[in-house]
Amino acid sequence: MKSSYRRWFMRLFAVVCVAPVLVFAQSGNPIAIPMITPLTGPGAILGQDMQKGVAVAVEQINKAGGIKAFGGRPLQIEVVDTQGKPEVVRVEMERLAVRNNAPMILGGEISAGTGAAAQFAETYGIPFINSAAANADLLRRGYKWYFTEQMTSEDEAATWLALLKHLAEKAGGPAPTVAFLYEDSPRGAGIVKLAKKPVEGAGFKVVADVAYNRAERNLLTHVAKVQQAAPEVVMWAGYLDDVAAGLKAMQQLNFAPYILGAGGGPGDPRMPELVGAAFVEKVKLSTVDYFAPDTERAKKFVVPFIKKYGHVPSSYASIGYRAAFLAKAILEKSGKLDRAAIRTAIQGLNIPGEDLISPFKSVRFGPDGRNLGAQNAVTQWQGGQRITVWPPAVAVKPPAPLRRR
Amino acid sequence: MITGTLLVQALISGLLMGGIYALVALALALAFGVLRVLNFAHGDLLMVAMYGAVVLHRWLGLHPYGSILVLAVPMLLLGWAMFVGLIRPVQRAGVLVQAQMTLGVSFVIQSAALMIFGADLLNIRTDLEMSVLRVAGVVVSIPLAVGFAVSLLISGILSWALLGTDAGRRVRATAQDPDMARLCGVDVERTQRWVFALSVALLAGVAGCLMTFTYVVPTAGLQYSVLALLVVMLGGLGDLKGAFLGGLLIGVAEALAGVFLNSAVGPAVIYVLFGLTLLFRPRGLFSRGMEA
Amino acid sequence: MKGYSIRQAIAAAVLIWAAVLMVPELLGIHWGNVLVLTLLWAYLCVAWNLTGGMLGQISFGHAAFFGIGAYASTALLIRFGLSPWLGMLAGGAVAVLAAFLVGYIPFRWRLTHLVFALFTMAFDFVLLYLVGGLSFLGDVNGLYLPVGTDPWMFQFADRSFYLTTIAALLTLALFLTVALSRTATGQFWRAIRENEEAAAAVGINLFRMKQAGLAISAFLTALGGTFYVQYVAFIDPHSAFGMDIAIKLILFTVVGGIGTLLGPLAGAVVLVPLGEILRTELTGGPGFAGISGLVYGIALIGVILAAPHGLVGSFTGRGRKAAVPAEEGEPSPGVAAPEKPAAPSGGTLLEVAGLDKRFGGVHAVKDVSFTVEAGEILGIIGPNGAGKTTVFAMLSGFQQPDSGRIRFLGRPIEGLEPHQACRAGIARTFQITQTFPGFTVLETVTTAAWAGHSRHAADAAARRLLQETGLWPRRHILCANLTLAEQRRLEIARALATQPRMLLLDEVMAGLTPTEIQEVVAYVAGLRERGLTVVMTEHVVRVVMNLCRRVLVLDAGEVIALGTPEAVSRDPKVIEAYLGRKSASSMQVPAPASSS
Repeated sequence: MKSSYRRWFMRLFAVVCVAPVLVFAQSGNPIAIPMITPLTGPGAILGQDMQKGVAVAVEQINKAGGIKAFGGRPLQIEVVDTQGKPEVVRVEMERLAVRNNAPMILGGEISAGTGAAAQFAETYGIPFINSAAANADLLRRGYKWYFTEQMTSEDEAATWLALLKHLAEKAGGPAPTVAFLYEDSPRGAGIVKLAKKPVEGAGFKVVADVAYNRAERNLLTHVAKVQQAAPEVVMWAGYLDDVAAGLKAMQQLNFAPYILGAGGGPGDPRMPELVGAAFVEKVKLSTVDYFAPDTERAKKFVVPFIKKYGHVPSSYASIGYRAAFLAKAILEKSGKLDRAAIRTAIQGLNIPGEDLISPFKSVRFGPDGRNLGAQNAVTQWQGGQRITVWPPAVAVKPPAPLRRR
Repeated sequence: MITGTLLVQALISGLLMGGIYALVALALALAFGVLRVLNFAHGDLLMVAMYGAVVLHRWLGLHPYGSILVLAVPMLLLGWAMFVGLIRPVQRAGVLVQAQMTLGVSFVIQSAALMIFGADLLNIRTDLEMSVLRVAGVVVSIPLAVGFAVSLLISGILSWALLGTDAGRRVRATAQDPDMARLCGVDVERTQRWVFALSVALLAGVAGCLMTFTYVVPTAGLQYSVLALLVVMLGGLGDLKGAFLGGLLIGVAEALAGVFLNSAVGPAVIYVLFGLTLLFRPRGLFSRGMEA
Repeated sequence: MKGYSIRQAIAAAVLIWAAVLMVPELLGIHWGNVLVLTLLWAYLCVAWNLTGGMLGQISFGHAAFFGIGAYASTALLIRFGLSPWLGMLAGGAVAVLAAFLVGYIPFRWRLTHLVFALFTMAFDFVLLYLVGGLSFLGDVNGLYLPVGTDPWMFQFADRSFYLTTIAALLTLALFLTVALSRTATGQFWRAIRENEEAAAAVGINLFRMKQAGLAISAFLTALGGTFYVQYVAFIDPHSAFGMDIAIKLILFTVVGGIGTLLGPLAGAVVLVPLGEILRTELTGGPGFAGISGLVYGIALIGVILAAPHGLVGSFTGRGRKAAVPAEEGEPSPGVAAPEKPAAPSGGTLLEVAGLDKRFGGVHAVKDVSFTVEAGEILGIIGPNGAGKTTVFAMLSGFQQPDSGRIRFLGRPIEGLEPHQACRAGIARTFQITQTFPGFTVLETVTTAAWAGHSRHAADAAARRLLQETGLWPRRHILCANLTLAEQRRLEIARALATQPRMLLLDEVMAGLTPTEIQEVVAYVAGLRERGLTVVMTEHVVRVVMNLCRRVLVLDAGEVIALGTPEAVSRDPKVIEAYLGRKSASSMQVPAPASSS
């Protein structure tokens, strides 16, 4: 752990000496595209990871010659801290749109922030492209200026069901029993709401539906409740802290179902470190994710990231990288900084999957602003690594089989 | 389906967790219950100690329990400095201004933690973490049990010290009527300094116990502060045994809410309980606390 | 009677509107938006200050009212298409109901300030989780406002209208605060803040006043909530009910100067833009996030250390009239002769039968019975702990007897609240003088008079009483700065201002010099000649013997003697209670010098 120790010490030293304002100085009249994200406050991990992904992307883009449609001008992504508060998002959106005259705004916000940003974008008329997970409700409002590149919870729920069916088929015998376990924020509760009926409809018996508040420290009871119902598969939506706590509880209770996960938690690269690699594999911990670091296409991001920061990037970091490259693609296509032209360019985008680092089929926006090419993969911990196991087209290895009792 | 085993498991884990809550609250019970300093930075100071434990583990491989001894002194000094430098100067302006001062400290600590350690959660992996005792189909987490024991011990010792020793009597006199205490020859300023510093030093112990099974993030502070406040009010101001029992009650209520209610409304139960206690038992559940 | 300064309000309004006109022009749209947020927070703080500052009841849960306003108007808008201008008022109404609900038990049962504060916090948290569970309120996802530019729907194409709206709200709130401070209600609020017991003793209905204060504050706060949601166009439980709202409200108000008119404004004006500047300028690269918060925290600590009584408090000085000299420049003269005496009427004024009170294990008052004739001066004596003050407390409504009957002017009064006892005609002084520390002498007596009179008559009554008690030259001195003798006289003046039929004097001579005692004795004797009935407890036995027609002796909660001073002084039980076996001769009263 020496490198992290060194890192902390250097940071402490810097803090103690001086606190400079760091500006990503670029030479040669850069094109500045702002990105709103929480760098402080409860959502800070999202913003901080994204910032790193952005840094890697921008380096690559500018080293390769910048934005060619603008004569090679370098790209500058201005990361703006919104503290995750809707009123700050509101003020920032206007500042960026009016004072900074941004051609478009990128978003890597928590749900509430994305909501406020989309509202402003639609009122004011500036393209807002969201790369972080967000509420599907926004896509039903018929907005013309809001686009989300990220997969929606509906996609996630669909993938969950598809994999579940696959596992059941392969295992043979009667349909396995299923339990839902989730944290109750829009992220967790949202995906479960979308998944429950289809899962039941497909013939699986849901034996438990247990929600918990993310702030709860003691998950033993909730996990015990799930264990009581004896499900073979647990579909779990949560963040890192609660999933880690819950997995520890499972371990203590000797409860090891097959876990299909969703949300930022189950797929976090730190999970074996936090909970123990052996148990993580015992429960076949898998996640529906929009980022699979082991795939071929992800290498162009993962390799330079590891070189720069010394660890495997999280999914949040991948959002930052993707957003920067998406901005590049939009600028290349539009050739103009005019907002209407930018919007037209976005609507006409069709980036093939191979050019992306995510498992998406493509980036292609439908009339409601959703990414029609969004597709997720399922990654699973196998042999100490996160391996992409689904869909078959992108899988590196097959998913671990569901063993019947 | 709620079986007997599930219920017992909930009760046991609720009790153990409650002991931990009590542990978190004991330091506040001293500072607030005795000194009437509404310390918004309580949870953040705890966080400082938790980060300290993490750092000691990474640098020296020190087990969290070991770090308790190492951190006690720096935390004592920190409490001392905070009281003398920040709280004492504004004491005359009233409880509310003191509270805002501690709020400022809270911002500083949270931001510094974010800058130095980043937003990611940090934890300590030890063998102890996952060890459990299995008794009749019910699981008892050992680190939690140790924390429970420590909590019981500390609340017992502090209670005894407050009620049975001269120093304790001086502290209680200072709490109930500083002017009168001064007239009786108690060095009120010194007593207050020591009590506050001690309450912060206590957090080293709390942190050590917590880090055997949980993680730390820069925003953990507020949660712990609110929790501690709830426990202290339930137990009755100035009543440390009450604080211990109050913690247990919250732990059990939380666990039972998890069993019987399915959802996120769970935490609301705690606040409803809190609200009812405030109305009907403003001097704490056991009515042994001082007038709030 | 001074309330808040209307000049200050006007000055503030001028500055606010100047800012509204100039800031977006000169500094651009971003600062225009920062101004919107600043004014919104200032508005919310002014509203909070009504309870926290004026009334002195700190609330930790004001976000509850904020959130109620935001959700109510939004729900009505989305479901029924109701204009948010009307929805705002509906939200305010719901907030008022919530305020009544929240305040009911804490105010009725006279729970402490801390308990009230924490109870409001609990209420806020419960709403946070509750609303998050209701799907028709968007549960945890929140609610989106429809997008549009209809001003009737509170949507403005020209965003500067948001600025003018919040500026208008803030201006109204400031002037409303000033206006309230000048009414009886506002004055009573401040009296309650200064000293609840004394306020109740002069006839102020604590429950109603507090409910009113909380309700008005809640209403205004809810309007702010609606404004917020219209501005951001999105609401979710956390941004409506989150604890950081309350934290900020208190922070800005306290830093600015709690209880002052412009304090909340000052706090918001300094801290909101500071936070914004730090956030936008000090973002830094990876590894430096948080520096804005760090500097903010340090700045905050610095401001509090530099100005612990609030920015406004520290600049205008804590005492408003701390150094106004007495008009005649000499210590107050003795008491003037009282008004033309009226013949004392006869009849039984007060009947006490079987009064009993326990405090836990202590049987403070045991089966005490006595009567008081109209126009007499009754003395109550007894060793410490005999129960004298407890009896007084029960007579004046500050304690409820466990059993027994009290009839005053034929009406049963056991179980009345203090302000009701006052209205019924019983006034009391307190053993430990209960002043309104931040009030001047004049304000104290005027407030007490105001509780029973019209404003005009109150001023006249106060003037007369102050002149009688010799406090007129000291009328602009703060109560906290009076000498003990003056405080005692003030207690009496304050009690008399409520026009009582019966005056309860609780050890009013304690700690006075012999000269001072003489003056007070003469004054009290004069009161009787005006038709007032007086019951006084005393330790200065000589005073009691000289002044009182009858004396009641209590020991350990029981009546051990009741009779003329001579009879009582010879009663062996009395002597034993006081002196053990000391001889009775020191208790002998010389032949009475004046009629009694």
